[in-house]
Amino acid sequence: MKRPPNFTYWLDDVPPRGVTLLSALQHIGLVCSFLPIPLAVAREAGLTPDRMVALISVSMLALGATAILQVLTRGPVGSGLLAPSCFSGAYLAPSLLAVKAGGLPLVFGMTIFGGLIEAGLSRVLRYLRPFLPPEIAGFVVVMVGVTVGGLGVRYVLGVGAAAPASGRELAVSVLTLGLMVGLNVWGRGAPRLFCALLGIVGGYVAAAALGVLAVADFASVKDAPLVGVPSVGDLGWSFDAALVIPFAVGAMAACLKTVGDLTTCQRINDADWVRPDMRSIGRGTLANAIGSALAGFLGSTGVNTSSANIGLSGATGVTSRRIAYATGGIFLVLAFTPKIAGVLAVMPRPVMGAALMFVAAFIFVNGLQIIASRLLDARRTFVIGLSFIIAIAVDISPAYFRALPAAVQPLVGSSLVAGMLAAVLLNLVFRIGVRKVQRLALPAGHVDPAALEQFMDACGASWGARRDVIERAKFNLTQSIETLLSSGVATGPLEVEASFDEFDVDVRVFYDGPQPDLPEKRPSNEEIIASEEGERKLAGFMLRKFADRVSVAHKGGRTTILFHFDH
Amino acid sequence: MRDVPPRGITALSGLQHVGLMSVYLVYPVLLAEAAGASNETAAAMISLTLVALGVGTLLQVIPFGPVGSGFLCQPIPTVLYMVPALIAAKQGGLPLVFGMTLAAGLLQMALSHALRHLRPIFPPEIAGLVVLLAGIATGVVGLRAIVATGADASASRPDELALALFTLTVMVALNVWARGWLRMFCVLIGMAGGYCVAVMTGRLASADVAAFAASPLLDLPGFGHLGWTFDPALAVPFALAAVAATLKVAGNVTTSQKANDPAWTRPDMRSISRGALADGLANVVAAGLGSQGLNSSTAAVGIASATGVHSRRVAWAIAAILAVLALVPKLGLLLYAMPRPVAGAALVFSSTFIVVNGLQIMTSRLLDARRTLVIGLALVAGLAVDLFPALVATLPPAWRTMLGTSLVLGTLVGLGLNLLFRIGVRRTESLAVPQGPVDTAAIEGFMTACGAAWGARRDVIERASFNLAQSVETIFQSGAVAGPLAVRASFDEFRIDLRVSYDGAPLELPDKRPSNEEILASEEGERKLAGFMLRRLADRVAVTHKSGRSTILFHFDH
Repeated sequence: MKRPPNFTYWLDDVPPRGVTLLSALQHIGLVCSFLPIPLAVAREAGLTPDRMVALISVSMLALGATAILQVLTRGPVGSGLLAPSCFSGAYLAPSLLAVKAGGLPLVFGMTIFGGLIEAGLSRVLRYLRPFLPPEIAGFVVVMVGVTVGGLGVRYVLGVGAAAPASGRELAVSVLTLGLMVGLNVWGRGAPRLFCALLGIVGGYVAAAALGVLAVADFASVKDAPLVGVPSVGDLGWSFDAALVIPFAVGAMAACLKTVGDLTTCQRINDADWVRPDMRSIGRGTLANAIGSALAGFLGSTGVNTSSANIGLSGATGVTSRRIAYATGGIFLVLAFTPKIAGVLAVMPRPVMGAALMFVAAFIFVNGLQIIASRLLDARRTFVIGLSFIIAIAVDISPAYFRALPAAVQPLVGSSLVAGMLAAVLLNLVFRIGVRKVQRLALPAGHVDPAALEQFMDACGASWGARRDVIERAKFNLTQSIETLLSSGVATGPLEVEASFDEFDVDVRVFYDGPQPDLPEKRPSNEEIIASEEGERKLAGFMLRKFADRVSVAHKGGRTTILFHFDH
Repeated sequence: MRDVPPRGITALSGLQHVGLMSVYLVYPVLLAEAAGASNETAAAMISLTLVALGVGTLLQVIPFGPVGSGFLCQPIPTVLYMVPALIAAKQGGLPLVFGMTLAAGLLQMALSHALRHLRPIFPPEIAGLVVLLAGIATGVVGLRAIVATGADASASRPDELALALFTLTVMVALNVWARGWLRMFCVLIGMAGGYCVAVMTGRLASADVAAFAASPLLDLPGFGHLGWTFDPALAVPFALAAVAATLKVAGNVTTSQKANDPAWTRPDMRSISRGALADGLANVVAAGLGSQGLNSSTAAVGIASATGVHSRRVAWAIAAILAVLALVPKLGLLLYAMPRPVAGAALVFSSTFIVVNGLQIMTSRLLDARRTLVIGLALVAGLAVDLFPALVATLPPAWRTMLGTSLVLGTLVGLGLNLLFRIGVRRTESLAVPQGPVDTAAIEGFMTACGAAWGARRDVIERASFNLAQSVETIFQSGAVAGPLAVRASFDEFRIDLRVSYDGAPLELPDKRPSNEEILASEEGERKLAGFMLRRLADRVAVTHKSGRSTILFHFDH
């Protein structure tokens, strides 16, 4: 690992106490933007305000423990990175199903189950990659965005509530959302970083001013002691086999999210980053799995790593492990401060809705970008497009699906679950007949660069390779073939073979002719002129520059040049 | 373009294009049904749509006066107009559809002259958003056709679902695993297959069969259903569709220009605006004849590029085939009697491509927080309409038509936010690069941040950032520099300009690679080689020197 430039405090650095404290508070602020997720589940369950306080306290406990587990470097758990977890949108849809089916005990019990599934998945991540390619991961993120955004809209407009949102409630929502968006777009520094939290605070103020939030609502805050042990007394856990698949899908989605986030985190923290370190990611996923199970055990909903926090640490260049410990510690302290939990517990519905909508906007676009990071051919287009339509179908005509047999009900109970199952299944079916090695023959003489580019594009799309790697390979292929021809090394027809697995794109060029010299150093000008070889050496040197790794083999008059690109 | 292919090829290419168009004849069918029109009216509408398509093709491909791009990007019935037209059909019947489409066509003609000014208001992420929402809307229409036929929306009909699944599977399987013609006509084959299954299982209504048998083989289409009305409440949805359609023509003509000109560097606005005018005119013709809105076909451009047949002659073949088909009323009746699950499957199939296409257009640009919020919030708003249709019912009627579809509401939210967030975006950014080892990551980070704030194209920014890093390195290595480099990057929709200035002698940037003798002979040789490399990286390079300070301008087309 190499320290990235511009980093003030890298993993093992020890920042001054003030910096540690402030950074930790920043991370806590960001994580708290996702608190509306368990609050929404509790609201659906019709929880009383004082039970809400307990729920928030134990939620903080779970978040604190997960942040610390994640940063551990010894033992089998923890990626060793500053990557705090937040409440997961992936568990939202299954949790809402569970609330309807069996109340909160079922939510908690099934969340433990989800955590166990995550733990299992963390052991087999390596083998899952072909079945869960990035476009499916991105699709899942989009569907999480749909769930979170849909709930946000419901709260803002008051759909399904006793009465639709009043004008005042709408005003509170608009103010909250406007503040968040305004600070994010036009703010600088700290206000921008904390736009979600400041928006929630502004929402509280607006709600109080407009009478949406009455003084009576704060009664529980006033009654709450300053310090208190979170009550986990009257908890219950139950299990329902019908919800196994929704929670398994939620766990898979949370797992995918965590893997993606930790990959980003590794890349941020290592200037020499080439590919994900799967061991560290597996340990990190296990840390998050324990976090989810713990959250369920204590009485809250599942967690996954927060991309916003990773973005924060990358942007500020502060990724010291100390900060993760501080973040976890402060969360644990907050868990024993019921007054603060009490303030959060009375969060008005319009404020919660606005926060969910704001968060959803980012989740959405993040997902779209993950999908678009890969080249998409017809197969992948169908995987995403058809799954999306199926997911939407579940949301817009639930009545139709309710008429289906009871056995398949949990599969079609939420758009996330139905969409993800469809995507995984379609991906499996469409894997039939994808060739991992493709060939192109080039006649002697004139080579059409457009044909070469088209070939690489088609290869990339059928493999679902990363767009930027294929762009590079394309540029390099045309350049190197041009160099080979113009330097007179290759005269006869050429053959190009491109192959792919998730980690490498290999392009092999075959031709009859002498082996080019591929010097590491540019030949000196004297050399170029002095010997006939000089010119060829220059060409060879140019070839080497184009790819991540180049090697040459020569056998029976036929030369093979291998260009390797990391993927 | 001006080549004259052999007759056989012309006819076959024409047939291929017509086959592609015929898939979209599902739209007028659904429209006629939504308006509660009779069999005969629906058949006449399909015939007239074929006529309008023929006229539209000639208008677009054969340049005449100020009209026509000259490229094979002829119109097809479009989903963009389909969404507002369905509302119009339900509210005021077919006359309202025709009247509103006529107005939209006129608007498109007017917009064709203002295209240049539309681009900042309609950046690609908004255009992509429109396409994505239109794709979702198409999918939803298709789904409704499959799952909810008739009044009883909640009843699951396993046989209909099975029929739709069968049709969809045929289409998808042919598209994924078949080659050549089978793949190209996968939708038609799937529809025919679904139709056959429906006939065999006795699903076709006997009245439809009787009407089909009774209709003459050749007949002029009837005009009995014609009429034009206008409703201001529908103006916004149709106007948005017109803008989106105009942008789509611009995109298709640009793609065609690229395909026809190996030396293409930037869009030729003249042929784009001629194409947009032709598209608007085609809509006026379609509405005048009694058909639904049309728009340039991306698939047609794709076929022309894939087969390499761009000859304008093909347009005459297309028009001739369409004219003949228009005279066969049996064809219209056949299409109208198509079982809804089959039509629905075709819509779902095409929607997958529209959705993914929209997604790719949106993400073709770099997205910063502003753009993320524009797209994200617009999508949340759009989906809210689809997820909570009950909410729309509570709106006052005038608002209901305007905001009642995901496409319209989502687009309006996106447009509004985009305009609002333009406040405070700087079009010029600068960076100082100190002497010493070059920090490539910082330079790339700078360019990426610029690109995201501007919403520039991803590939251009990648090229520019690679080039900037290379040139900074070269400039430092040449040793001609004293003090730090100042980099200024500026952007408008058509270009990215990088200006690198420093105190020192101007760098020589020769057009030709210096010969090896030159490199050796003079000290300048090495420098010339570096300069030559730099010139190759950008689309255009210029060097200026003024009172000891040199500036190199790297220009990239966008």
